[in-house]
Amino acid sequence: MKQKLLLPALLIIFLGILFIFQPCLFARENKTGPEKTPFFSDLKRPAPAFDHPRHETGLSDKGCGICHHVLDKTLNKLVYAEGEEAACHQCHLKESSNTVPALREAGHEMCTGCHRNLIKEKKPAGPTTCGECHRK
Amino acid sequence: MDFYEFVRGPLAMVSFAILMIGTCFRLIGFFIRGTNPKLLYPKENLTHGFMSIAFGLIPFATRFMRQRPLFTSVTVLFHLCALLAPLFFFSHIVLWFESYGFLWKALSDGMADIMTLFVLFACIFFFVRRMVIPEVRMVSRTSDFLILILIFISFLTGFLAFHQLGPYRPMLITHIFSSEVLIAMIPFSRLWHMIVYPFSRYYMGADFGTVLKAHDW
Repeated sequence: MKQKLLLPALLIIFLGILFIFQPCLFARENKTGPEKTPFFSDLKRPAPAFDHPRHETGLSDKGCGICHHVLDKTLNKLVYAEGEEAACHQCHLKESSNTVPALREAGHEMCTGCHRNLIKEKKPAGPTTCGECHRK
Repeated sequence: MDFYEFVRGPLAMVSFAILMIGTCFRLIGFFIRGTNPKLLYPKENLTHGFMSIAFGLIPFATRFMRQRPLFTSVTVLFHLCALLAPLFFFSHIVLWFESYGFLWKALSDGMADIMTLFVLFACIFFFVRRMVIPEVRMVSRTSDFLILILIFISFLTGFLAFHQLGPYRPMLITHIFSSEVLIAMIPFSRLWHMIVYPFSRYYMGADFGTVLKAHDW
C-alpha cells in the first residue's frame, strides 16, 4: 500500500514545485522581454542600463580616456583620441574579430573589470555580479 | 573587501585546493593500503572489472537497478541534471570565458530551469528515501544528509538568483558558497564516489566475476 502511494506522492511533489515556480519558468515568453538593441540579434539576458553622467562625474579625475579608446594601428595599442569618442558598438560588433573583441566581451571586461579594480583599491565601485547589471 | 568578490575569487581557490590536496591524500592512502599482502586480489583478468564499470553506467543494466525502476530513473536523471546543468549553463560559461578564455555551447535557459527543478525534486526524493527505507537509513551518515541539503540549497539559490527573486546578492553569495562547500567536501564525504566509482566498481566486478563466478549487482 505504502509502495503504491509513493510514486503518485512524488509526482505531486514534483508537479507542485513546477507549479510554484511556473510564473518564472514561462514568464519570459509572455513578457515582451528586454528591449532589443540593434547590436544583438538575440539577447540572452536583460540589457544593462548604463548611467553615463554618473560615470562622468564619478571618474572625472581620470578623464574620458579611461573608457573611450581607438586602436592606433602604427603603435598597435589602444589610445585615447580626444574628440573621437564613439559608442562601443561602433567598433565592437556582435562577433569578435581577431583584433576587436565582441561587444559582450568588451563590455564585461570594461565594466566589471573596472569595478573590480575599484573594489581592490577600496573605492566606491559599481556592481560586479551578473544580476546587478542585467536586471529583470 | 567586497564579500561577493571574496567568495568568487580566493574562497573558490581554497575549495579547489582542498579538493585536490584531499583527493591526493586519500588516493595515496588507498595505494598504501593496497600494498597490504593480506588483501585478497582478483586474478589478472580485466574483463569482468571493466564490464562491471560499463554496466554500472548504463541505466537498468544491472539487477539492482531493474529491481528499483523508480529510484533508478530518478537517480539517472538526477546525475545527468546535476552534472550537465551547472557545466552548460550560459552564465557559468560566460564566467569561465572571462577567467580562462574557453567558450562552449550552452543549454537554453528554459532547459536549465527544468533540470534545476528536477534536481530539487530529486534531493527531496533522496532525503525521504534515506529516512524511510531501513537498509538505507542504517548506512546513512550525517554528512549524507548534509550533502543533500547543500545540493538543494545550491540549486535553489542558483535558480532564485537567476530569476532575481528575493534579495539578489545574498542569494548569489549563498549559491556560490554552498557550491564551494560541496566541492571541498568531495574527498571527505560520499561525494567521493565521483572519483573512486570506477575503482570500487572494478574491484567488485573482478571479485564477483573472476573469483565467485557470479554476476555482480
